[in-house]
Amino acid sequence: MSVSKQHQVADPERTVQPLSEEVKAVDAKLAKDPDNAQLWMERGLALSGQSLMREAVEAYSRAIALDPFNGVLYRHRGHRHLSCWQFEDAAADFATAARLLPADHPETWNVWYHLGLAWYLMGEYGKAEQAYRKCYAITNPADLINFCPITDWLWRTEMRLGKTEEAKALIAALPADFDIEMEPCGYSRVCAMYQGRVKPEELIEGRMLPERLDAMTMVYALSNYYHVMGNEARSNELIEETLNFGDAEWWCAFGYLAAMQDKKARTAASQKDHSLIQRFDTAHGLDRLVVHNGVAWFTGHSARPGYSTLEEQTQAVVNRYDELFAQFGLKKKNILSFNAYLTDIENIEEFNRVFYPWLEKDGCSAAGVCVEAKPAGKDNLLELQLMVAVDSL
Amino acid sequence: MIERDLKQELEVSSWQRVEYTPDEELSAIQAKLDADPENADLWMEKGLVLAGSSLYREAGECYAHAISLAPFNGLLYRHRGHRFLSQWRFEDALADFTLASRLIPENWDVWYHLGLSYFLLGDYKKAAKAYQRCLELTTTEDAMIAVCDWYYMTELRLGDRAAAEKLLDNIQPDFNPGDNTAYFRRLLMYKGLVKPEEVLPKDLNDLAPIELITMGFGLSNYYWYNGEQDKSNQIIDMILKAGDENECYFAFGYLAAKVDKKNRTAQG
Repeated sequence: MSVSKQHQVADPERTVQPLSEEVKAVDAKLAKDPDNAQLWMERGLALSGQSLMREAVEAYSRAIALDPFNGVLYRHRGHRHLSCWQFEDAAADFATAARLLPADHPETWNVWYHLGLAWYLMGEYGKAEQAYRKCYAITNPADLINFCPITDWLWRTEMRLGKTEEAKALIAALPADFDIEMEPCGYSRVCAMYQGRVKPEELIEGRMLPERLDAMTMVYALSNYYHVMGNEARSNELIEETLNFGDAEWWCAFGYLAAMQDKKARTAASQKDHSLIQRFDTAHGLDRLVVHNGVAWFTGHSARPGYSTLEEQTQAVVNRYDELFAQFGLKKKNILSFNAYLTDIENIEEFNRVFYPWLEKDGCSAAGVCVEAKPAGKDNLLELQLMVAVDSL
Repeated sequence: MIERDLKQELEVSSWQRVEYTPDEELSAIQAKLDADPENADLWMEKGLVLAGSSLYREAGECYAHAISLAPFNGLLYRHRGHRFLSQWRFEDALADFTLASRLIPENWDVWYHLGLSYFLLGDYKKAAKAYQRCLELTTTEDAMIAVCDWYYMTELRLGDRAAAEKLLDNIQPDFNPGDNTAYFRRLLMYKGLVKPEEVLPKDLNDLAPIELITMGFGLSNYYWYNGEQDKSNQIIDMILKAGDENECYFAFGYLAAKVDKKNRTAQG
């Protein structure tokens, strides 16, 4: 099998942006003292502060290379592995940190909390429960800044394991009348919802504003709440809301990560239930994708603005389909048929030059139609619709 | 809030994955894992099977899973570190090989790849130290060939031509190179027994891409440190083209060529 480096290797391209004054200050010290693990850790923390998470991981790795049995370094690197969507590496780091740090170390709480999250994101709820229980056991109930987050994540883990009595006990252990706004990431409001002090639909009312991290926490919590209460349709709507809200800025937020993983798992699961009609990314009566009876039907896709020739537009559209296939867990080799609508059929060769190599690249073929018709959109030269078998071998 | 313009797709591991169909070997190990999911050795075995089909990202994830079960098993870091190199994550590779060097300090592969990690990160002093330790652990001719080649190049980069030349005393023309024929040819060139222009065959199509890339990098490095920088750069470009066209993006010569090209471009 020939494996393409695409999707396998770290992207050599980097976000280009100026380093913060904090990073520059650490760099000045590192220039004089490059083998100082503590400084590399500080560099990692400073890079995290400006959301350069890949670079932060690299800085922590440099620190670990200088001080390989320092559990704090694994704690920090694990956190940034989560931010970079590297969940297995995150679990490995937190597991290591848990063995290196003594039980009463100031970072031990964070180690167990984030190890729990890493397992949760991988769908390993039993292991998540174990880690969260260790975290819970060392949380001071009077310290609501920590007690609320661990209660929330452990509650949802217990509910996903079907342990409703254990979940109820967690809520009973919360103070009856704490200030529901006291925790800045939104966990106190979520806990108040579990207590019945905030109605579910009031949880996010007026709070879905771009700059609010607590919005991410709360919208995912609400999605999960409906999921464990059996209202899957509402849960899925809120998953979409979480992802749409967080796509631009909050892809490191735990709510975003959890929503992303839930969507992947549910898409994979629903592909096995052929009796359902599943609709995805619905807006104004138009579904981006409908799945029924083992077939996924895409709505027609045209290129975003900026591509002038049919060849360029075709390339843009097939690139978009690559993203969508990955998003929905579909396989190119399962493409059944296509409908291609070209503004001018005389230019079909431009379409063919791009589309068929894309299709045939992985040994695929499909039955299809290519006709002249005017797609919607002033400058669109092409609309392409695909139908794909779901979970077929 | 710091002003910044982040692009999600550059910041996170790719959402997209390589599609693959498990073969018999992978299916067999998966069946064992399904029955015994907390078995770190089985996770490692699964990683090795995946790596055998160049699924390096997936292999790395298996090793990480194994590490979460057995965080002080040095062999897991040795294997994951190797896959980090394949994924162009050199700092992570460095960390893994460093930890492995403390957990299984007699492992030749650990020191060899630790040397390579430092080499790719441009820390030639530390690369030399790692290669020296590797040399001390070397017991076979093919291993001697591999370590001496990279160590030789490292000493040249440190400007210590005498130390580089002395390493060649370890290499004899009648060695059995095993799989390391490309490294061996480079060493014979360094020893003056093969002319540089004879290292590569006239028809490059006669060479497997990985051989071309491996021999090519040694040749490029040789030309660079012997004052023929244009020739060196031409070979770098040839290596990158061969690697890109033949999906040899994980070959050590390709990685090193990529780093050299980036550095030389940055220096203008």
